[in-house]
Amino acid sequence: MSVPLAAESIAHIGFLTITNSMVDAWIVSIVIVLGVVVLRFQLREVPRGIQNALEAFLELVLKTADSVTHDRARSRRFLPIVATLFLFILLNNWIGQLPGTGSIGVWKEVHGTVELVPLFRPATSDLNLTLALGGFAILLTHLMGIGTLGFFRHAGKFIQIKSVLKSLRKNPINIMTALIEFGAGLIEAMGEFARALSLSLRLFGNIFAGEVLITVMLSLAAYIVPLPFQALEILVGLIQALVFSMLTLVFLTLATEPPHGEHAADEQHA
Amino acid sequence: MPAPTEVSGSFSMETTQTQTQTEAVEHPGAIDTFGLKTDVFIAQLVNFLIILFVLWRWAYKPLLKLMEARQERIEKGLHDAETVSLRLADIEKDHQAALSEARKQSAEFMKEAHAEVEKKRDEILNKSREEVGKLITEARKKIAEERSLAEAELKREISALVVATAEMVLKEKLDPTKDAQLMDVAVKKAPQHKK
Repeated sequence: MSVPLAAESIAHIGFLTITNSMVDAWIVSIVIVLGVVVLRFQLREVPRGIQNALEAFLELVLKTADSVTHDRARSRRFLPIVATLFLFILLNNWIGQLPGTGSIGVWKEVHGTVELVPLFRPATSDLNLTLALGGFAILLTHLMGIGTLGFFRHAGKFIQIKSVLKSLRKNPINIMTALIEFGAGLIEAMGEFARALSLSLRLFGNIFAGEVLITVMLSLAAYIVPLPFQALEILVGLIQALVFSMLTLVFLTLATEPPHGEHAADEQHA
Repeated sequence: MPAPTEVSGSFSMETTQTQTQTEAVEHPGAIDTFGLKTDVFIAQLVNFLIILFVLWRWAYKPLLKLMEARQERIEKGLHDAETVSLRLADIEKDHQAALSEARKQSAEFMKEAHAEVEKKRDEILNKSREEVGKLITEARKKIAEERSLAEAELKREISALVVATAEMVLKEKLDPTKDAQLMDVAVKKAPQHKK
């Protein structure tokens, strides 16, 4: 029994490969869309059921965002992104704990041997999705930064030509500092890619490792023994969704802050 | 796509050893190992964007609007309740003041009315007393007058009676002058007799 690092394809429609992780992502999407539809039909002044839960959730997200942004307007602007990332990742993490994940599949010939290819695989244990989310989140932080600060001010955080030009009129030490700052800006630009990569790899690594762990435990003992690990995986799923969305929130906040000389140190993440 | 079984990253014990060897030969790269495929990547991204849009357009937006409206309403309600209770206290105070004022006025009014009534009663009483007194004196006067009139009448009648009696006694009529004299004498004597 093994869980391959890459999500397996189970079908092809035209040019599009359909992988088992995509199936799970669709299931989550359908669940969310159905939830929204139900919400739309029972939307009322005095909240009940889904509406009540979602309102409490939004309130919580807003409050948390306020503690980071210190600005209600910005919190409201970031809310859709952060809340959606959290909900989508959380559901994708948790769906892997449902029975059938990894066990329901189709017998297919893979690389010469006939194997059971699972139909379902949590989408967050596929780097395609996590990289898409991470890349999108970081791209969005830059779009938001450009939107609030303007293109040149935002780009100036990374390519600090202005300070170099300014320093040319002053003494050599100033020129040295400006050059170092210029280099630091470039490193920070590289850091943006690292951010996207670390966001996606962290999520992927945690959920994938969880899948492997559960598979191994199931192969050791099918009953009782995997339960504590599954409980742990539920916790991990929550924590990873939280980490991803919180980091995105922090990046969004940093990107929309005006460059004040020295840039605030990047949040180093675990 | 062209990754062989071992390098496609099967997570099992045996592959880890052979992986390093085949990697050197085939150069599968991280992209293949992780199964990164452009179409899957784009599909997942689009999927997420759809979810983001759906949630934003039909869940967050109306919900936030609703929540804010509700918050505003509750705040307004609380504020209104406060002003209402303040107003109520004011009204109560006004009410009490008006009531005590009215009481005072009515008491004053009552007192005045009492005094007036007393005065009027006295007046009427006095007037009626006076009138009664006047009536009594008038009545007395009238009685006295009547009596004197009656007395005079009586005198005349008595004198006529005396004359008639005397005539009858004497059976003879005196001459009118003598008669008159005699009558006068009789009349003058009569009351003296009575007394």
